Amino acid sequence: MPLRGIAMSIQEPDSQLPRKPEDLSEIRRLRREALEHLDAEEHPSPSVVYGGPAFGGRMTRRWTLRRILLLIAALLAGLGATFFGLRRYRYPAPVYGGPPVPPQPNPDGSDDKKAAPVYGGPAPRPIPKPPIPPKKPTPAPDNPPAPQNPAPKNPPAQNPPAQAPQ
Amino acid sequence: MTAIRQAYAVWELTLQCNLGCIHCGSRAAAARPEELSTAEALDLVRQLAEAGITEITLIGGEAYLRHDWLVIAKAIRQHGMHCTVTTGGYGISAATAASMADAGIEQVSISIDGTRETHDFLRGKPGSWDACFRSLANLRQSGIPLTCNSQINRLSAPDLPLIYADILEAGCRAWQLAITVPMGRAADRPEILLQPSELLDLFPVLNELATWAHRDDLLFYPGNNIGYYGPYERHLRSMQGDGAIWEGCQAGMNTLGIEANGVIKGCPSLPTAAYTGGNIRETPLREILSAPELTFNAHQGTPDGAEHLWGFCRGCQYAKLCRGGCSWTAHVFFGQRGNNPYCHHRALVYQRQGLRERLTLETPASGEPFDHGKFAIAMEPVDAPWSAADPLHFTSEKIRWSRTSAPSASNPGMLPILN
Repeated sequence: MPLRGIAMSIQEPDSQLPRKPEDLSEIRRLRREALEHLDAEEHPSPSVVYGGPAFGGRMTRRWTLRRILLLIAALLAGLGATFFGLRRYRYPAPVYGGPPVPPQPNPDGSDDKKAAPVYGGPAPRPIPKPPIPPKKPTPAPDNPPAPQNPAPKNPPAQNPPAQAPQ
Repeated sequence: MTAIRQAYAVWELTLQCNLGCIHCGSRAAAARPEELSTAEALDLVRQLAEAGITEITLIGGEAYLRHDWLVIAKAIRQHGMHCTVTTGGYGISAATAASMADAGIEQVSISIDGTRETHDFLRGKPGSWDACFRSLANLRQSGIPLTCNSQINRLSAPDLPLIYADILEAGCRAWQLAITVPMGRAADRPEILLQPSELLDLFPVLNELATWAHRDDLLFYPGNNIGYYGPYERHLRSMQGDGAIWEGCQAGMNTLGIEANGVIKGCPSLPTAAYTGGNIRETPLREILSAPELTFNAHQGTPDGAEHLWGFCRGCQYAKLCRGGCSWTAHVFFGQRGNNPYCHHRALVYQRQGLRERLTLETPASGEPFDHGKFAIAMEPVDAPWSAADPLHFTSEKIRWSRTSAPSASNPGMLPILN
């Protein structure tokens, strides 16, 4: 009879054995918990045994799986390195965030000469300046205070009217 | 391949034995004074079937030294139970093997504890190793499936890979291993017992052997005192079912032990004095099964189920499921269950703390079958030098991975010291 047959006996319905634990669901919970502990513990890979095993150091399945995963990861990394390595010869060396983006025309058509972005992303749009209220004529004081800031020689002009892109 | 038992009884048919094993837990030699008669034995077979037992393993002593043993084996089969035999394998002739097959014995496990030299020394009889393999050949010819069981101690552990090769070649289909513990004559030989920290070297070897067994389709079956929850737990028990892990002592839950004089225990290995539920001569089996000595594991999974734990086991993260590992092992060391020094997880925890445990015999055993002494446990630094007075110290360097590794080189003077 095969060994498996040992497990295939039929129980009498009123038999006393095997007994069931008082709280089978708790046993199941404890079992799950134990498995979680086992998974969480840092287990060493199977130790190398002094003298070496007789048949040339067979690996456990777990270790084999780990090695397969490492091999796949190494292959992917190699492919990535090759791809980006080749790109190095086609593009200027990127800094962070990829190669510099070439200057783009402003959506409003203005011809701002902004420095090329370094960390990627398009150049920021020019911030519209708030309109300057018209100056009210004020009577000159007898002893006017010294100006804190010299008046600009060329006061900022009002925003030009938006132009349609040409 | 898996082997899961449902309800199992191990029956010592007689204490008479033709070997003199130095680690025998029952100190088997002569028959017990009042062993069950044939009629009593046959009635017990009936009661076992009624109780729900599905498999009975006949042991001894040596079961086949009892004149009516095949009558009992046949009765077991007639009651719809499986009948298997565990034997020292000394002198099973071709004729005996054939009669065993005729009686319906479905599987035989022979105890092999090492290479020829080690086995003969442990079994106390020159020529016993050769006799085992002759018996295996005879049994194989009779068509009975063969398995093997081995004790692990400081003498046999180095031979484990060679035992593996021998039993595979002999056609064994399963291998059960158990660590020798201080019961019976083994309690008189503490020097051959593994110290807890030596499990750190043993378990990687067991893991390797389990891998070989997977490869060779040999059922690798760690006994109940091999564990618990170490790095190799699931791999070692993987042939007991998918995701199998140790789930606590099941003595009395699905296992019974029967002594030749009718004593009923929850497990055949448990000490007689503390774990006898009753005697079949005085009480029907159905009533004995309700005795507290046979129901102490029924509370598993409840708060009461872990109340008996003490020492390291009480604070262990696996305490509620493990419940102190093998009750037999813990009890024969300390006189009570619930704190098991033979635990791989425990040895690893202490190793991480820079410590190791050392067991020392304090009270010798009395000299009765299934007796035990009492050990003290002490802590010491994990890297403390091993005492020169303990030359059998086991390390993985002593493992004989091939026959070219001579025992004299790895274990200098091993056997003469014990002689």
